[in-house]
Amino acid sequence: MIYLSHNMLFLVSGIETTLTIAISSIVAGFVVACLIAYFYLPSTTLLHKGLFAYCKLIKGTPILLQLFFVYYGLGSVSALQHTIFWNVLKHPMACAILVLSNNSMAFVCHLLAGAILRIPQQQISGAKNLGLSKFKIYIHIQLPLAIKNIMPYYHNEILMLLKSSSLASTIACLEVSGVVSQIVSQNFQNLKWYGILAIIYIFLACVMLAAFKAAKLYLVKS
Amino acid sequence: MHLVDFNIIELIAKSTSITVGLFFAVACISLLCVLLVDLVEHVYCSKKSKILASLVSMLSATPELVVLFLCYYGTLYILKSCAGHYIDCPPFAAGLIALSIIYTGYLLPLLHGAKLAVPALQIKSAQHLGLSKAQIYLCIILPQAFQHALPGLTNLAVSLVKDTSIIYLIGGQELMGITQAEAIASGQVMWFYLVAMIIYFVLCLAIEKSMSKCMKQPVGIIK
Repeated sequence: MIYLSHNMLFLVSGIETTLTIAISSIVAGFVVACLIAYFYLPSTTLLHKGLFAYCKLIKGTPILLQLFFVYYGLGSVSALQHTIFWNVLKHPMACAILVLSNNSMAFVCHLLAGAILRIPQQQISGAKNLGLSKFKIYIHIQLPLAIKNIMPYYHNEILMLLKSSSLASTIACLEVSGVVSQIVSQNFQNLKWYGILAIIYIFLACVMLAAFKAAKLYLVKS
Repeated sequence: MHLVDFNIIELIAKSTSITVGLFFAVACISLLCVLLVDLVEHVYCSKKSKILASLVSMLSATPELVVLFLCYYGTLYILKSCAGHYIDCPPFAAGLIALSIIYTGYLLPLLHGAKLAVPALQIKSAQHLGLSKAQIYLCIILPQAFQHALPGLTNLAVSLVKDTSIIYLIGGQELMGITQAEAIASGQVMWFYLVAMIIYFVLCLAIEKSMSKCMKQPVGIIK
């Protein structure tokens, strides 16, 4: 009984870590994408071209490779070990949140830019006639409408982040996949524990999608 | 300074070809499976079956890692119970099965959505002409649904190239595995990871460009 309860406590701590990673990445990626989507809109500036190329690179490389690049790659560069970045790079959970929010930002930027381009031009020209600056138009008109438009597509993004958080177990982060890997390495009941892990992830996905639905209803109401 | 050793270049080229081969194998198997499942569902069930839809949504909520491990250990368990003693399962076989299951689960909703875009009038007139359900599916619904599904297929193809990297976690020696092994052996991790990122990026770009070329050609008589 004590053995069972030890495993259960371990699993609960793993679920806590998974939810921390997933929710932090979703929120961070969303906030940064909202700020940066203005520069992702088609224009000829160098900033747009650089951002576009960077997001394309992020979207075109596997998350596992990006995780290894940040944790093992950047962590092995001796020059970085003496800067403030080392506070982030030495914690596997912080590296996982960094990489996952990076990915989320790249995808959400793309979604937001597409949604902004679909806003009817009359609204923008009306705002320009009222004398609003480009920045004010972006914050008060384009962004809220775009966020409302991408809400139906966002649940895919949430599921993707929850599933990618399981890859953090490969860089020694003790979220729920890592916890189950450790349990399995001790008692070798592979199928049973990975089946339990699948059920845990389905449950977590249901919880997160329910929370997202509640948040969506709150946004639409206001 | 990194060592430009011809052996390493050969290894990376070989592992890239393994990744590309894996991509085509999984793409073919999952496309065939999804067409089969959908054909059976179209012919034998009049409405979209709820059990299949809930199974697919549960599968799409499970991480690829977990499905991969379940397939790998499940295959080992089945082989052991059939043969009585431990039989080694090659990681690529388990990876192929796992990725095919995952991508069949992704393709089914995509195909359902693309089928809805085919005008219902065509299906009705085909029924009046006396075509069987299977004939309607293969000759009328499928070619037109393919064009509508192409943007989603492009996304899934790019996602598949990136997901072949998880086979490294059960010991498969494709691009990710070789990169990690060589990076640790030589000690110059950054160069190897950068090269692997560029190769994956080039592969994804190639897939995107070739799929967008497919989209320019019209398919079917009625557009």
